[in-house]
Amino acid sequence: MDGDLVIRRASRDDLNSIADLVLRLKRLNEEFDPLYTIRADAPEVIKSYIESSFDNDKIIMLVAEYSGRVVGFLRAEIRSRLFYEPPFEGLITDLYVLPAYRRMKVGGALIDKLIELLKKQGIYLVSAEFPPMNKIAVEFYENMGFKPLLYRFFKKVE
Amino acid sequence: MKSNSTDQWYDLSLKIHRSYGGKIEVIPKVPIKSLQDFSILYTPGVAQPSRVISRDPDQSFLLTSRWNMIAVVTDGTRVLGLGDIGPEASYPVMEGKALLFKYLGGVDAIPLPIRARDPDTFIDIVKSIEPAFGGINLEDIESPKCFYILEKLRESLEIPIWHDDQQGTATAILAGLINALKLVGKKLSEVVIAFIGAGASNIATANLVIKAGAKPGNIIMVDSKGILYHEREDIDSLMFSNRWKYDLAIKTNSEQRKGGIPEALKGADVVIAASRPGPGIIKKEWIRAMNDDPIVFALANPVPEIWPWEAKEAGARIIATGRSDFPNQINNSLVFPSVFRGVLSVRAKTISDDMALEAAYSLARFAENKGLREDYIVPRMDELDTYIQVAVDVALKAIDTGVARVKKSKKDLYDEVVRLIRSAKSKLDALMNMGLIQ
Repeated sequence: MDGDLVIRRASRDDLNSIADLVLRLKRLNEEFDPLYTIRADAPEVIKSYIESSFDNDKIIMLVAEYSGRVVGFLRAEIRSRLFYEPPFEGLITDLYVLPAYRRMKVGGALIDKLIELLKKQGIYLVSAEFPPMNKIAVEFYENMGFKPLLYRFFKKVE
Repeated sequence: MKSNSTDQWYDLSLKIHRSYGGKIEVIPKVPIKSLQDFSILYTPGVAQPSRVISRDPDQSFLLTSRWNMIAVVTDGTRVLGLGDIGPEASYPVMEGKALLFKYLGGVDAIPLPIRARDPDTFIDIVKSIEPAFGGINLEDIESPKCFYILEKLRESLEIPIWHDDQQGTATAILAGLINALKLVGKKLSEVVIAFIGAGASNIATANLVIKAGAKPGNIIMVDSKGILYHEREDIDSLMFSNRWKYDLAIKTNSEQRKGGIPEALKGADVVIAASRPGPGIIKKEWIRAMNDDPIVFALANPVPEIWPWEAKEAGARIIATGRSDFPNQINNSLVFPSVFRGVLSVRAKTISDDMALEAAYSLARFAENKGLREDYIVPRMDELDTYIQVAVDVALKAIDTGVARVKKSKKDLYDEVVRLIRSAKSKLDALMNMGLIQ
């Protein structure tokens, strides 16, 4: 692939590209379980989800750009941990890289940049959430040195 | 008329299968003259070769039939065009394959349909039968399971493993493609190739033609949902459900072409269709929209995606099908007997992609030496010398690339291959002449 990889903070100009990537990510989850069925209004909801994140200083959004095109996206929320040390974590809620740009360490570069920004705020814990059936994500985070620390169980009640 | 004649084959075949009760049997290959011979061939004498093998299991290749014995293994999940008909129903096909292995390659093959739908169970079973065989031929296993099974078994077995629906077909197609391109004066590294269908054979063929020098970006693959491109909506789910197709979606189609079969064929130099029975899957006007001198491989059975005469009328320069009643039959029967003859004769540990490529080049050379024509791009199945040549070339490649356990000179290899292939036929002829087989 020609061109240079740039990792930078997302700006409002990126909104449409980011919304497209997030929709792809959520659609992928749809494969895993009926409880991940995409709502009909998901495209609009995603846009407002991203838009409101811009105004929130507890949220970090990064994009990966290749030759001027947004090809990857990361969104993380800074959360308090009431009972444990360290007291804050940066939780990656969304991470997606376009297929043609995978296996080029784009995801890793986004996470490295996030860690760098978190450290500047004195935050030394980073986490990620995703469906457990996503074996590729499991492998990716394991390779990045993450380990599972929390289960979240779901049950639909009729 | 066509369907009539196919129906006649069906009737006749059922009759033959019923009257012979199958097609193969086991016959001893050592002389037995008196009761005393059993003390040598069986107990107590047989304990001695067993002792020797127990000290050195590799001796099993010298002291037993293992060196020339393979298993034709299937789970019966994708048999011919019949689909998931189960292991018992696949038996006639496996037995037919075993017959061709012996008759065309001098290879002893055991039909082995197994009840194992789960891929890991299948893999465990094949691993556990390894001691009995010199090689494994996988057959008629549904995609994408077949890719996973082949990949895992290639990693773990010390004997060659081959999935004929992938590798055999890919090798035969590549051989035909090499010669077709020679006839139209085009280079593999420059042509645009449209693949219609993304099942086991076309995925394997795309990978093999890339190995042979085609540019991945110049390949356009079409599956049931249309042209594969790396931002197609279902691409992420493909990453989980069929990562072999996913890999091709990422590296092919550099122009990100979208659409269906007509869009894929537009301006293409070659179309390789292995999709579903025609006619009418590929339309004449789509062939007209291809580049000059179109090469059309319409390989669906029993009816090709487009009839050869229709393709010709639409301007196709070279046409191949999977059928023996049309010229240019692209058929894995041209490949598997000789590939296994070659690897068994040098006790190869594997059948590498380089060896598959060599088989394709060798097949192509055979036809070229006979004189290429638009209606003769690959050898015909009845040209028995082709099996000898390809077997020797594959064996030599195994020796060159260090996967052969036994090294032999080209002359010795040639003599052995000729002897083994001819003896299979001579023995059958003799039995037929004596009226023991009629």
